[in-house]
Amino acid sequence: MEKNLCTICLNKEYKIFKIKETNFQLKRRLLELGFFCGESVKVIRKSLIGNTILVEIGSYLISLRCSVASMVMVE
Amino acid sequence: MEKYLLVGNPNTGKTTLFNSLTKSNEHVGNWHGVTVSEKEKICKIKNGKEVLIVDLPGLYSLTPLSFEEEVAADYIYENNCKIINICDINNLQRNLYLTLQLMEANKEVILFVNTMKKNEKKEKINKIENILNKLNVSFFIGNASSKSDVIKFTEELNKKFKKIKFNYTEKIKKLYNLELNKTIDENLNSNNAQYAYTRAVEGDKLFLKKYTKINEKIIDKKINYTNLEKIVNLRQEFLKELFSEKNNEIYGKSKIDNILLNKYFCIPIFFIIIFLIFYLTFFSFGAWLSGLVRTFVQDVVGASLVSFLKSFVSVPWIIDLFEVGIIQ
Repeated sequence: MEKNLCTICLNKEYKIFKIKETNFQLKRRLLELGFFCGESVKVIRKSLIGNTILVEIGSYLISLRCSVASMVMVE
Repeated sequence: MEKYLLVGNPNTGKTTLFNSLTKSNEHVGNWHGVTVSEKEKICKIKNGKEVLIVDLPGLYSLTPLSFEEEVAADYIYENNCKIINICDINNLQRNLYLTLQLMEANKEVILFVNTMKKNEKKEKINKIENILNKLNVSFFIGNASSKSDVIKFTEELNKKFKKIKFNYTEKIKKLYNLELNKTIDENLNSNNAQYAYTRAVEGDKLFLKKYTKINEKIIDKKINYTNLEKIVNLRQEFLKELFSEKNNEIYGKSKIDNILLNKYFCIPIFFIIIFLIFYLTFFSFGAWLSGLVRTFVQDVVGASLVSFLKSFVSVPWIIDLFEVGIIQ
C-alpha cells in the first residue's frame, strides 16, 4: 500500500518519491517549499482530531492540512 | 534616480525595512498578506544621493499563485532595476529559492539577511557568512528595525553586486522547448526572451499569455508540467549541498513544547491554567483590587461629589440620585 504523509508513524524519517497531481497549484507550491524527490521528511506531531500534522523538512518545520499532506507519497 | 525593489518571501521584514529606510509608517503584521500593493518612496543614502525604494508584496517564486504575488512578479519583470532580496535568518534555505530564480534571470541582487532580534549569536552569524561566501553573493546580516544596521546597509548599496556561479545552467538549457523559443524570439527582445524561456520550462502559462503574443491555444497545447519537477530538483539540490552541515538547529523546536504540547498532559495543563486565571481574577488578588476600587469610588469620589452638590443645590431627590443611585 502506498504511504502518504497522513498515514505514516511519528518521528521516523522517510523519503519523498512523488507528489500526486490532484491540485496543480498546490503541487507547485509544495515543490517550491522544498518537498522534492529524494528529500527526507519526518512527522513530528499530529493534532487531536487528526486533521493537521507538523512536518520537519530540510531545515525547518511546517504544518499542513491532511488534505494537502495526502498528496505527498513517501517510502 | 536609481530604483531598488524590496523582494522576498512573505513575512521576512520587507515593510519593516521600508519603514526604517524611508522613515514612513506602513502597516506591518505577523501574518501573511499584510502588504497588498507596491509602494514607492524616496530615501537618502550616505553621500546625499537620493534613491527610490519600492516595497512589494511577498513572493515564494517568480510564478505567481495569487493576485498579490502576480502584482509583485509583474513589477519585477517590467522594471529592470536592482533588487534588495530580504531573507529570514531562520529559514534561509527556503528563502534562497527565490534568489536563485532572480540570479538566473540576470538581475542584480543584494541579500539582506534579517536577524529579527537585537543581538543574534555570533556562531549563527558566522555559519551563515560561510554559506553565503561559498555561494558568492553580496549580502548584509542585520536587524531591519534597528536604524544603525540600516544605515550601515545603505553603504553597501554603492558597491557592485556579485553574481552567483551556477553549476546547473547547462542542464536547464537541455529542457528548453526549441519550437516555442523561436516564436518567443520573434516577439520579445533578447533579455526578456531569456527570461521567457525559463518561464516556459516551468509551465507559467499566465506569463506567456500576458507578455508574449503567442496564440493561447498553442500555449495550452505545448506547455506541459513534466519539466517543472526537474528544474525544481536542480535548484533544491544545489541549495541542499550548501546547507549540508548536520548540526543545523531547527528553528521552532524547543523543550517547552515537549511539555506543554505533550500528548497526555496538554489538556489537563490547559484547564489548570484557565482555573488559575479565574481564581486570581475573582478570589484572591482580584478581590483585593476590586475592594480598593469600591472604597475609592464610594468614599473619595462619592463624598466629594455629594458635598459639592449640597453646597448649591438643596433639592433632596437630586442629591439622593447621585449618592445612592449612581455611586452605590
